[in-house]
Amino acid sequence: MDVRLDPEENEIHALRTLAGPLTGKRVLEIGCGDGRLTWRYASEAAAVVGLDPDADKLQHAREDCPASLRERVELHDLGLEEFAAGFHTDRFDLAILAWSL
Amino acid sequence: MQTEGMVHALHTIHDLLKPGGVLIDIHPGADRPEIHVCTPSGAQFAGYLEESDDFAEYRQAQAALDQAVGAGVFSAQHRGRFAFVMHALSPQALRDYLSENWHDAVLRPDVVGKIEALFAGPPAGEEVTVTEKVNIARLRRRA
Repeated sequence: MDVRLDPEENEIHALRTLAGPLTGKRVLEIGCGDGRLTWRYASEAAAVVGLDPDADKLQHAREDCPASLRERVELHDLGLEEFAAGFHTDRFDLAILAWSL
Repeated sequence: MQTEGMVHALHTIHDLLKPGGVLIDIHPGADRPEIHVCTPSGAQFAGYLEESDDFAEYRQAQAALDQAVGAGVFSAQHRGRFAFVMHALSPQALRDYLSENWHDAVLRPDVVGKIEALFAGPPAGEEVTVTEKVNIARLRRRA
């Protein structure tokens, strides 16, 4: 691999510090991209919904999703507003907006 | 996305969260990322990575968060900062990555020249790093 992102794992450390324990929590990640951050915390959560309107990146995420997480992580190639247009209110304990605002 | 659109997105996230739910926002600060070349003799500063819009969207993101907190949509509970480091094995790997993933990134010719000069000579495990100072905030949904 010619480029590595955050091998020091500073991002996931900061996320864990501020989010606290994820056990039993339903998590919405807005702008999950290729799942780089998602795979680092998803095993701790009850369920994760990842959104990204970039279909190519989401396809990478689907291909890269570890087998152990496939039942726990749902990925949607939707933007936030499209996703919210359904009956999804009051559903999540935690939202992660990483590099997406 | 302009600040107004970002504030709208924060309202949408508010509605998706359970009452008392938490939003973690992660976005880079508006400081220029530092570029270093790491060689066996240590890390040498090569310059800064610029953006064609001078990191305007990061300032807008912070303004949107501040606006949402000011409007009572969220309460800010904690804020922090961390270093996010990209490691590239060659100057070309860095350029390729930026071209594919960071479309408004600008590497000034003098910075490219300095990076390439530090990579000159037989390979000895050099790498080029780009370090961003990233803001992270924990916000709780207000009723």
